[in-house]
Amino acid sequence: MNELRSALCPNLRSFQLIKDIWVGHFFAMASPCEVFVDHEDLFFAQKLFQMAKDNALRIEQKFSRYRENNIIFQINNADGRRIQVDEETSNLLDFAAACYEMSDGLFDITSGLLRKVWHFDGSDCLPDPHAVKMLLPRIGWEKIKWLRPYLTLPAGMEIDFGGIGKEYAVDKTAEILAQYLSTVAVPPSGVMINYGGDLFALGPRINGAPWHVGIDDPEATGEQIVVQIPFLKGGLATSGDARRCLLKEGIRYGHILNPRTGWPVLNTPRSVTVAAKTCMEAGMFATFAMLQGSEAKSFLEEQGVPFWLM
Amino acid sequence: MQLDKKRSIRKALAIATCGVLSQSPLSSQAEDLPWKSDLTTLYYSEKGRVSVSESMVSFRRDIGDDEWVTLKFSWDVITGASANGAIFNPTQSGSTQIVTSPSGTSRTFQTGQGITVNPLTNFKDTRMAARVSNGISLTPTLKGEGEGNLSFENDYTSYGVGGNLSLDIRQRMTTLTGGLSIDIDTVRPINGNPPALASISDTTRLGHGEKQTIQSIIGLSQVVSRNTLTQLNYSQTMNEGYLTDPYKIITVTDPASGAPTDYLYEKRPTSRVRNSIFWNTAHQFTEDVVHLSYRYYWDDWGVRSQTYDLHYRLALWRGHSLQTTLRYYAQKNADFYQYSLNSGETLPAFASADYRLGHLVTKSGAIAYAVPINKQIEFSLRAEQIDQDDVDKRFPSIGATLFQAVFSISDKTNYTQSSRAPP
Repeated sequence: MNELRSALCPNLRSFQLIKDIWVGHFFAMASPCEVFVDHEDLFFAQKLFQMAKDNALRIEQKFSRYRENNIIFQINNADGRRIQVDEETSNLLDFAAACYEMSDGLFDITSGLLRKVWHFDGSDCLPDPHAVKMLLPRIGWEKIKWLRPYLTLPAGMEIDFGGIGKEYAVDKTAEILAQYLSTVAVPPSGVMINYGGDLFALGPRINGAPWHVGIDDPEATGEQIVVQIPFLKGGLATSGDARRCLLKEGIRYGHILNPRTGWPVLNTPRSVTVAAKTCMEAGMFATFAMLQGSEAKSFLEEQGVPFWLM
Repeated sequence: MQLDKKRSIRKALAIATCGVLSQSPLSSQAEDLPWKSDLTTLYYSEKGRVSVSESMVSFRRDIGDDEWVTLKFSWDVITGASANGAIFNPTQSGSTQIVTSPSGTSRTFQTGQGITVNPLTNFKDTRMAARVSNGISLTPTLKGEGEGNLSFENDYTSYGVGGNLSLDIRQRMTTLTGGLSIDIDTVRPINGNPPALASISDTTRLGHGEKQTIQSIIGLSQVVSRNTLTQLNYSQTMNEGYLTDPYKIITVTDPASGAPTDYLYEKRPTSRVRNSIFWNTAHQFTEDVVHLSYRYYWDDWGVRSQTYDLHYRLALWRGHSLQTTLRYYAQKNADFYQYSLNSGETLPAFASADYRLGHLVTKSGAIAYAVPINKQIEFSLRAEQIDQDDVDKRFPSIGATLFQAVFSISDKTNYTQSSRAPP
């Protein structure tokens, strides 16, 4: 059985064969990333691994909010000026706008500013409610003028693709690998991508068996797996607050923030894992479910997607 | 929470995702594109001879990941003149008659000294055919497919059923296939089938002719390297029943003068076992693809043939492609093939002067250009020049051109080539 752990074993070399599967490791988008290749040929596996890594690093470079030479920096420092963005950024902005609509404003790529006051370090240091309130006028997708390909952000506002970037990188990598496999006449199977717990399987393992994905115990991240999901193909994503939360007076403040109030959504599940056709869809369902707080389960049931709640 | 509006965002989310990912990572567009289809129209024309116009539409539907259905309809019209077996340019001129055709009416022919038959028969025929198949993945590595087909012409009907299995082994690097199909055909010329080796002046007509065909095929395809796929098939076809062509005749000539004295309906054996070995290798360069294939064919009528085929697909900018195909086909004649019979000699057991059973060489070259209209639709135009020569130089050479337009709505690249027996 192949247990794929989203947590990394630190002593693994960057490329090795685990139980007949080649695994490539690298670090990108602030997460450990892995690519599993169930093909005998090491060179073939290395080729796929390299393509995946190049793509993940490219996306990180282009969309990271921590860099100063990319489109996100340009947008966030435009000081109210109109910026023309490229095709890929436009696609992501369209996607973000659609998610904003679908979630009635709960999913908002302008809410990253709240990071300035919220530090989910496991402590009991809640921010000053006044400081939170001061940020709210600078948050809200509806304040942005987006007329593809022109984006105008009021000065002082910021966007970030933190909520969709990793899932996008997974799907984009899968697309590139699938395309490569098709050009070399190899059926799209036997490849699994895992970028920090956001996954995509290109078909089952070569022998037709499913991949087995373990979901971490929210109470003991990286140490114990509570559920094993057999997984043939498509995307799988998890949203959870295990590692990022605040605890004060018995109330748990998870890292999922409501952009309307600036405060965390309470009574969220500890962890939501959703399977969907793509990783982006799975990620959005998981995030939307989290934003529902105690209604997460009924929301997911209504959507009719496979999910695992903890 | 506002989001909880008792509505599903599933579809909206899927649409939004499609906008970001230029194509779905898996071929899961099956859900977005329920029917894949091909529309093809082709026009084939032999100079001064037959022309064929064929239209074809095919559909494929994937039901989940493990099952698919395909439907195919075709309709073609053949008109023009085809060699009927009578000798060309008889040494003696006289009154020339035209023999019957599938759409022809009852006629009486005379034979004898000084009477010749036009070696070309004009005809017109319409064929309609349909095929349906259903395939399922029985296990992740074993696929099965069943099919049924039927076709109708004015004077010919055919019904068939078949099935095949394919098994992936060795990490899907190797695929084994096996298939079996059975067809039952009926030949019913308007006026009935003529008695074999009877003179065309004989007005006796028999009932219709029936023939059964059992075809079996076994194959192996192997991924040789990441860019190379090779495929080897063996197929055996057994025909039983009425295999004679009721419209083909053979000339009886006077051995001294070479002048026709009579024309007889041809006669072929009532069974035929056809074998062929087909090998195809496809190699992909960075983007271009080359196919090389060879077929060796032999049967118990003594026909042997070899086909060499070279196909190159040159990838151009923005998904456009240019494809060229060169084909060389050489055939040794059937044992009972004779251009003419000598008068006064005992009739052989079987005789046919059908040039298609003769000593032939066919050379063809094709060029095609494909334009993607969007991610799923491709349009292509193809032109082919075919030259067929009778090595014995008795029948005139045939030069044919073929034009084909294909409008294809799909999302898959198919690297396998079908293996079709020569005519």
